[in-house]
Amino acid sequence: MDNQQSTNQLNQVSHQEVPQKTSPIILFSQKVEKILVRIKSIFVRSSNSSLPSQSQSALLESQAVPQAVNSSTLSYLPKTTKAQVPKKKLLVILLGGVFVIVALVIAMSFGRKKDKFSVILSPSPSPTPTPSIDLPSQYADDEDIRKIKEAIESLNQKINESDFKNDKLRIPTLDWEVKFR
Amino acid sequence: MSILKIFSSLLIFVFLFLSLPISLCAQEAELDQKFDFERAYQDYVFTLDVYNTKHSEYVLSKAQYEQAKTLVAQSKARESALSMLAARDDVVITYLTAVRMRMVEAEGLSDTVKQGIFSRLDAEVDWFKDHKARLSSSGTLKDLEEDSAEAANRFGRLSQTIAYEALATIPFGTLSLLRQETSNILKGINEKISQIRINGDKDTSKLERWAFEVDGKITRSLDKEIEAQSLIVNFVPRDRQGKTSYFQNFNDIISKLDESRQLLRDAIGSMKEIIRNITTV
Repeated sequence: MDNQQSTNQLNQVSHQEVPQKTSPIILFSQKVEKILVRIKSIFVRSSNSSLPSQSQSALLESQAVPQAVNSSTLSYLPKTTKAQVPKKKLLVILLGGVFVIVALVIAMSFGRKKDKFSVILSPSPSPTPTPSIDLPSQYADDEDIRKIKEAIESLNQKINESDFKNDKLRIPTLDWEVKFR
Repeated sequence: MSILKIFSSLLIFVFLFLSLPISLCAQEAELDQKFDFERAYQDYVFTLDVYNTKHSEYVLSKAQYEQAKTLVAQSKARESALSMLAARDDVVITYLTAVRMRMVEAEGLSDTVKQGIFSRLDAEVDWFKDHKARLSSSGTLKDLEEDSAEAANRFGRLSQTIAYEALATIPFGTLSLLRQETSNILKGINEKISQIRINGDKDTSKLERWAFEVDGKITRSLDKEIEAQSLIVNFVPRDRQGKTSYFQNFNDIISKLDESRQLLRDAIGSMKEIIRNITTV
């Protein structure tokens, strides 16, 4: 009796909601429900279960009119609510992602194998900064300048060679403690 | 004929007899002339090797004596200690001589400065020569201990002081010459810049400014040298010195002199830049 009441309520609700359910997700869920109901009917026939005659007749009616399905009869099957549809999508997306990653890994492994036999290309020539060329002045070959240059080089050498520490002449380390016990 | 032969052979004999000592004297004189820093340094290294050997023997015989306490061990310990002390005096003598020869060859130092240090070095060499001569009179181990303590006191108080002072003074001459040479080059550059300005070949304002900066670097180099010079007075005998280390003072002086030398290097770099500017358009 309760089942019949709930079926009627569902029918009322479904009749009220039909014009509003226009989204493809809801249509898809309805189709899935139809399929599930058919599967269930197959199960019922094969197992020859002792369902009440009212329920069987309701089931047959529901086959004819999908909107009249009793939701309590589908309790053992996963409900296809609005919230569950994106989960499936997510599952599909995840599977697709995994497939893409596997495909990429395979492609990369092939790519590496190819690198082993690939010819190493010589580096492409890059533009090097060219030193600025200073034009010589009229004093470039001047005798005085030449002498000054030589004197500078000589002095530079002397400064670099000069040894201030005289490491060779460090104070010798000697034993100054001569004592006998 | 026979008389002539005898006479000629006698003449040859006399000639050979007289020429041999003359040639030996000439060789000695040549050797004396060749006595330079390198030779003195080789002598020092040799005596240091001898000392190390003698010291090892002394350490061994001392250990044996302190263990056995026998008369034989005591005698052996005395001999080895005496030998080691003599070698130690030789090391000090040759070391101070090498320092003296290094100072003889040092350029840029005035004779007054050199003579002041030579006299003090010679006094130390004489003292250690005398000390070495007195060692043989030491009869007991106690006498040797006292002789050693006497030499240790002399070396630590005076010999070391004068050696450090000599080593610290030598680079002043070198640095003085280097700075003098730098100043001379700068003088030549200034003359050339003046000539260029008179000829009107080039704008010399930048070159003159650079030359002025070089002059400033030379002056700062001299200031650093004077700072180092002021530290020389810290080389005083240890009993009047306090806790200041000779070695630390020596390092401080050398550090100041290095700074002075670095300023001369900078001056040389700037002078090169001036020349490069003059020789290019």
